[in-house]
Amino acid sequence: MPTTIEFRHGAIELLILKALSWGPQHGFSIARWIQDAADDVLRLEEGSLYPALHRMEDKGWVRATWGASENNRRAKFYQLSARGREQLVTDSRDWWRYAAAVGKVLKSTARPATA
Amino acid sequence: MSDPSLWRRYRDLLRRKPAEDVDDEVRLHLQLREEEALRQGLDPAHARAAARERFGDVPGVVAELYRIDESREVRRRRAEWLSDLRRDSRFALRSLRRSPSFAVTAVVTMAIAIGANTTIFAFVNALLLEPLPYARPGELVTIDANVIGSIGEMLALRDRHTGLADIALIRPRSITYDDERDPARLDGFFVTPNLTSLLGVRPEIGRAFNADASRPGAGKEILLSHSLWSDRYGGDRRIVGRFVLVDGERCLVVGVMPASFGFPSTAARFWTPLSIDPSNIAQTWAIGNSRWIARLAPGVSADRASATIGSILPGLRHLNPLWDPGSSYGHTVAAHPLQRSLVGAERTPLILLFACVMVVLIVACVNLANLTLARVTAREREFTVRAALGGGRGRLVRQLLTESLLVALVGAAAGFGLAAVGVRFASAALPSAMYRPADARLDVVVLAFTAILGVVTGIAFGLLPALRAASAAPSTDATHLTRTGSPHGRLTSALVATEVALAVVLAITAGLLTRSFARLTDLPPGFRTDHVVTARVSPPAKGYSELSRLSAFYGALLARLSAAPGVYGVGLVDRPPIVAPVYGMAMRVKGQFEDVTRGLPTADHTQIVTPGYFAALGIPIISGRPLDGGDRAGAAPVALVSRALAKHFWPDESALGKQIGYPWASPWLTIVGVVPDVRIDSLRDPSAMAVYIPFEQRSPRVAPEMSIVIRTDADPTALERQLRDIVASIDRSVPVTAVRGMDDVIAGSVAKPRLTTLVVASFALITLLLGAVGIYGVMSYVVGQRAHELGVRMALGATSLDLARHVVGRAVSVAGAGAAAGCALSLAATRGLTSLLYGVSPTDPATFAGATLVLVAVAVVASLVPARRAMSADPVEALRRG
Repeated sequence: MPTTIEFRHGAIELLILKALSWGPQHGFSIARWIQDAADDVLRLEEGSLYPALHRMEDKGWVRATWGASENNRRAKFYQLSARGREQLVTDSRDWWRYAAAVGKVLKSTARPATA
Repeated sequence: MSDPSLWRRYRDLLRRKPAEDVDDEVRLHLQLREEEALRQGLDPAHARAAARERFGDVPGVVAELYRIDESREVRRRRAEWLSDLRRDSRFALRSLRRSPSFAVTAVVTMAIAIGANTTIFAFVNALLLEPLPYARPGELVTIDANVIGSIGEMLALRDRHTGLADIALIRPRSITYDDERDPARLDGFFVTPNLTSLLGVRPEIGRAFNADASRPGAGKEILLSHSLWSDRYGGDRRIVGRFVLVDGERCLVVGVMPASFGFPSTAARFWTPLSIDPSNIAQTWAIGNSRWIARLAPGVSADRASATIGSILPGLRHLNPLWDPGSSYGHTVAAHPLQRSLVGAERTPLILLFACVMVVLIVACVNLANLTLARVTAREREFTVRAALGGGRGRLVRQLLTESLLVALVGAAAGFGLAAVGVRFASAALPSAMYRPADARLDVVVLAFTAILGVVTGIAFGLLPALRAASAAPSTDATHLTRTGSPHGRLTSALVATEVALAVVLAITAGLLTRSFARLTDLPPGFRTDHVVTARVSPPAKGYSELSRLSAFYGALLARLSAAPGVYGVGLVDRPPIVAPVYGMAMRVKGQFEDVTRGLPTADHTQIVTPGYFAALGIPIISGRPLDGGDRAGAAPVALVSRALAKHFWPDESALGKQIGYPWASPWLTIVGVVPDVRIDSLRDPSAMAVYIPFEQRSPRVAPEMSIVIRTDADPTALERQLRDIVASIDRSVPVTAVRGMDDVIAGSVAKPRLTTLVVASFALITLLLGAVGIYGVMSYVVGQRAHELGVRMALGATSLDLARHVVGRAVSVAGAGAAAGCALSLAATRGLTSLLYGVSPTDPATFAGATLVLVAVAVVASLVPARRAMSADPVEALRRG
């Protein structure tokens, strides 16, 4: 079942931004949403989520507040900032252009010109 | 909220540590994942393991999170601190702008106090703190011992194991220097050739002396000082390798020393190799004015070297083939750090000035603390409001400290500028010959000192008022504060008393120095100083080695000068009094000390004089006869002695006809006359056992240079021209130097104590003024605070005079308490002055009483204005408000 596609660096931040675009969430629910959204195809090492989150906090893409989780435990909720929202727009556009370019190459049938 | 630590704990509760947050966050994630696994039916152990596996490297991630969060916390705190600082500075600026008179007073006070401190410190740094510009200066020592200063002793020490890596000897030398320009008389030093290598210095151009330069028969060589090179040759490098005439002999200029090399003082213009010939007994064992400079062997302390040398020296007593220097010979030995001994007499006055200027700074701080305190009191309402609005005590203290720091730092910056001027002025006032070029500069060290001073003073005068404000702030009962301001009053009074105490210390110091200086200059030197001119006349040794030629020269000079208009008396002396130390000699005394192989007594001073010397200086003959023309070479050898010497050896009989002698086998000299004791070395040196030898009968070994003493009512400049003309007409190659009136000589000899006294006195005056301002301030405050009480008193029948008396009495009691403390402090402190005082005890009661009186008088005067205000207290107004 789980085909393990490793994350490329930077991609995880894009996924987090996307996850948070639905509203404030704590780390575990971000991880779970990504897994669900990817139909368990992506194998996410959940621990790597947190350093990414904290760095994004430094960069001002997300804001963190402490609140209560589902069954009333102390949880740190992350929320997109205005800058984070902008980042999501530019990063996802870049991602699509990148993916399209890679796809185009893979689908190409033109043979290389021999010197 | 009375306990500041409580507030801190409360704040820490709100602001959790980053590490705990990270732990909570990761724990929650693992728990949620584990619960999910449990719901899927895994057993607890597996659920747990599965959660951890999906998470990955738990400790690694946690560590990384700590790192990220902690650096964020540091950044956050720094930003907060900076923004607080910005806010506090803005606040401080605004509140200072609201009271410009306070701001200006405070900044000016600080600028003057810090400027004075920086100036003095620049000299302390340049002269006492900066290490000597020689290699490994910590190993360099001078060796002081009661020896005769002969070359033989140094050679003996060098050949023995002493814990010294090397030892050098220097001796003052005056030369007539001639290079086809004006012949000049120069002061410099004979040195052993190893001096430069021992110190680890090299000539700026040319070379140092070779090791064999002191061999007898070696070619004559000379090293020039940088100052001589630039003054005389304008820095022309071609002088090196040329020959000049030194005392008439051809001498090779081998090099020029760098400007930083002023050894042993910047007065040295040249160095020549000391001629060392062990086979020449008389030269090797002659008494000399020598200094030993040594480098300690690695790992040997100065104390150990002293001890080793101390065990050797007494044994050298019997090495002396000429005479026995006595049983106490060689028993006191001390190796002193070179820097300490070179700084020598400059050290104590410099430290004294530094201490005094520090006191000025402290008093300035106390004064500003008082001013600030008054401001704080005036602003109590403002602080109460701020506190009520949630400004914490810590914030309030910080705000007020920022204000005082701002004042102090601006003052320090201005003070640094003042110091630049001060250093230039002070350098000009400094004695010209120092052990190193006194290049007091405002360098990084001095800048750091000023900056530290700025911060420390800012805290010093700001902290007390700030704490006082903070303790007042939380109270909401403003009326309570304004009515009973007495804790403030007590604090202010204590501060003023401190100020007065310190002012008394400075006033006493200044008083003692002034009295000592007055004593020193009131001293009759024992000879006339007015209308007396002295000059050095220096025939070169080469052309005047024969006594007959020298006699002819001086005979012609004296004859022509006596005939000159306005000249009443002329005499010669080998070393004139007061100008420089006059050395004595060991002597035989017939019937008492005849055996040169036993210990001989020493005369304090020996002077070679012509018969006219005593008349020219107005020194009478007490008994016997004066010297006269009959006391010439070949006639019976005679001498005059001072009264002190006569009394010492012949306490109960006349010294006339008694005989004394040189410390070697030679004809006895018969004492034919006794003269009064006069000051010879310096005004403060009372040693007076003197022997006067007639010039014509002197030993031929003595250098041909003499000083001429002229009693005249002619204009000094005209006389100088006349003297030069006469000398030049007899022999053009003889330089005439140091033409000075005896009054100038005397004044010059006390120039240093005068400078010290003047500076300390001006510091004392500044402190006195600050003290007066302080007393005025506190009394005004008291009167203002107690207007109500004073009014009530008046209503109850007190006259306005009673009230004035009350106010002045209060000022006097505060000043009196301070003065008492200051006297007690001075009793402990002025002992350090002993070496600077002459004829005054460091605990002189008159000075102590005088200083106290002055301060109390200042207190009375300073409280007169507030007292007048108290007299106008209005009972009606007081009762209405009450």
